[in-house]
Amino acid sequence: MNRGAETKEEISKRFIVRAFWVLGFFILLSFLLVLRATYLQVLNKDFLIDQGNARQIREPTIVAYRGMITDRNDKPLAISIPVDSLFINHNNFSLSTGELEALSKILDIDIGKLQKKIQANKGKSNWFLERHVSTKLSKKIKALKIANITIIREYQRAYPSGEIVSQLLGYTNTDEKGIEGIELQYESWLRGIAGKKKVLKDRKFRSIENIGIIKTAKPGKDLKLSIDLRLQYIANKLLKESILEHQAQFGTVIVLNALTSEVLAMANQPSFDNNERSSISPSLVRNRAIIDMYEPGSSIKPFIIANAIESGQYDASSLIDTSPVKIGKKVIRDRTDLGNVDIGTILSRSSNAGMSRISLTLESDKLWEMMSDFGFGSLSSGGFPGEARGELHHHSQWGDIGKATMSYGYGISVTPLQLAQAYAILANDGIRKPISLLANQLTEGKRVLSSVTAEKVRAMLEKVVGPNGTARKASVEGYRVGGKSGTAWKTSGSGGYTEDRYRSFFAGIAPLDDPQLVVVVFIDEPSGEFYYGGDVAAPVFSKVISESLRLLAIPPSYNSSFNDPLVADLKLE
Amino acid sequence: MDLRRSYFQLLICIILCTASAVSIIYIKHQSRELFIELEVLNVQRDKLNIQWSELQTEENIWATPMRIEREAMNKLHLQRPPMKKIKVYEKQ
Repeated sequence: MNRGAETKEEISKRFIVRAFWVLGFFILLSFLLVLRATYLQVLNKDFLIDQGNARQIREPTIVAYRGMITDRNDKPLAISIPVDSLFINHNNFSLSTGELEALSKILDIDIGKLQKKIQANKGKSNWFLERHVSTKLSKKIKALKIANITIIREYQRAYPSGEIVSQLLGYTNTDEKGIEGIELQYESWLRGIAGKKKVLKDRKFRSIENIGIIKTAKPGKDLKLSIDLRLQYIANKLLKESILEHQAQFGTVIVLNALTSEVLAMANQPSFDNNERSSISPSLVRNRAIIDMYEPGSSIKPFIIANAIESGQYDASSLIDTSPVKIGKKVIRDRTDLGNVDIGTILSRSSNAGMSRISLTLESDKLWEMMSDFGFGSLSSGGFPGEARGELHHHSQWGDIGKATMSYGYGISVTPLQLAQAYAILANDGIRKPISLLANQLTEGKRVLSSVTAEKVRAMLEKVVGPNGTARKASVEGYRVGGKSGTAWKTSGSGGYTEDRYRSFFAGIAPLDDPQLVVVVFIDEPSGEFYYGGDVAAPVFSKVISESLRLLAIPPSYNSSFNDPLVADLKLE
Repeated sequence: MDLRRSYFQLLICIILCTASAVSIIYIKHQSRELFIELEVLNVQRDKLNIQWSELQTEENIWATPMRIEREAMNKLHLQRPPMKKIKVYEKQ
C-alpha cells in the first residue's frame, strides 16, 4: 500500500540502489575472474603448462637398428634381434610373494637370487631387474601387471653361424657396442643411433601430432663381408678334424681369392660360439690369422727365389751347390746332401743350404725392398683390431747369418694373412692387391714382380707337390696345384728354439692353369706321429682346395680339353 | 542504403569466418586421424621388420652348411662323384 504511495522519485532512487548492488556484484565477480585468470595465467603458468604437457606430450625414442653383417652371398652372419629388459624406476621397489614366484618361474631364476637383487638395489631408482629377456617371456611378464616394472625394448646381436666365423666377427657388449673383431672395426658404420621425437597424445594415448624431432635417428648400415659362408664352413670343419687328428694346439686356415685378394674364408680352431658370451675365453677369441705372427719356415722360400730370378743372377736352370754352408761358427746343412741341383729342386726338396747360398749372393737392399713389396713387415688387413705387423728387420741389421736364415724362414715373422697375400702376388702374375675383408672392394693393384718370374715360381711350386716333392699330400685329384710347406721350430720361453715343438705350414695356389684361390694352412704344435708341414698342413690344404673348387664350380684342369679321353667319350655318347 | 550494404558485408564476413573456423577444426581433426593411422602403420612396419629379422635368423639356422651336409648325406644319400665320373663341357 505504501508503495502505491511512493513517488516517482522514490521509485527511481530505489531502482538506482538496486542497480548499484547488481552492478557491484558483477564488478566483484569479474574482478574475481580477473584475479583467477591472473593466478592461472601469470602466477601459476609454468606449473600448469608442465602439467598439461605431462599429460599430453610424450618423447618416444625412434629406434635405430645396428646394421647387419652378411657374407658375400647375403647370408646373415650377425643380426640384431629385439629383446626386452625389465627396468625399475622406483626407489622402494618390492614384490609380493605371489609376484616373486610368478616372475622367478617365467625368468627361470631362483627366488632367493631375485630377492637378493631387489634387496641390493633398495633405495636406488633406475636399475635393471633383468636384461635381454626374449620378447615371448616379456609378454608373459607384462600380463602379470606388476607395478613399477617398465619393459624397455633393447636389441641383442645374434650370430646364426655360431662358432664358424666367430673370431673374425667378434662380438658386442650388452649395450650392442662392438668390442671385438669386425664388430669393433666397423663400429661407427654398423652402429645405429637412436633418435627422439616429441608427439602429442590424446586421451586414448594415441599419438595425434608430431611436434618436433629432438634428435634424428641414424640407423646402422649393413656390412657385406668378402667371406663365403660355405667355404668358411668347410675350412673350419677340415681344420677342426686335422687338429683333433694331430693333437695340435690350434690352427688357422685362410682362403683368398687370388685375383681380387678378397678373403673368402678365415677359420681359427679351436673356436667359440659368440652367442654364448659366458663361454668366451681370451685365447679362443684371438683371430690368429691376423693378430698372431710366426716364423714361417720354408714356406717363405718361393719369395727368396722370386728375388733371385728377378735379380737376373739366376734362372730356373741355374745349378746350385747344396753342400753345407759355413758362416762363422754356424753350419747350415740339409738332412741329405743333394749335390748340385737346379733351383726348382732346391724348392721341391726344401734345401736350406741351397737357399742360404742363393740368399747370400743377393743384394741386401734389393732383397729387403722386394720382401717389403710382398707385404712382409707391414699391415695387410685394412685395420682389423689388434693386427700384427710381422717382423722384417731392416737389411742393415741382417748380417750374413740373418740373411741366410731368413731364406728358410727364421728371423722373419709373418701373420698367416701376410703369407696368403704374398702367395696371391705369385698367383696374380706379380700384382699385389690390398687384402679385403669386405666384398666388392675393387682396387688397383701394384706390380711388384714381373709376370714371367711369377709364372716360373708357380711352375716350381707345382713340383713341390709333385711325386718327388716334399708335399705330395697337398696334391688334388683333377686339378693342377702348387704350394710350399714349412715346418718351423717354436721358440722356447728362454729365447732359443725348442727341439720338439713345431709349427706346420702349407701355402699354395690352385688351379695352376688359371689361378683362382690361395690357401694358407697353419697348425701349431702337432704332437702326434707327424709334424712336418708336408704331412700335417698339406693334407688340409688339399681337402680345402678340392672342396672349394667344387663349390665354386671351377672346372678340373685335367679333362677340360677336347683331346682328353673323358671329353672324347662324351662326344661319342 | 550504405548502412544496409555494410550490414551485408559484415554478414558475409561472419559467414566466411565461421566457415574457415569450422574447416580448420575439420582439417585438424582429419590430420590427427591420418597421423594416428601413420603411427599405427609405423608400429606395424617395425613389427614386420622385427619378424623379418627373426625369420632370417631362423632360416639361417635351418640352412647352416653343417645341417645341409648332414641332410644331404644321411637323408638323401647324396655323395660327391669321383673325379673319373666328372665330365666337363667346353664352352662354345
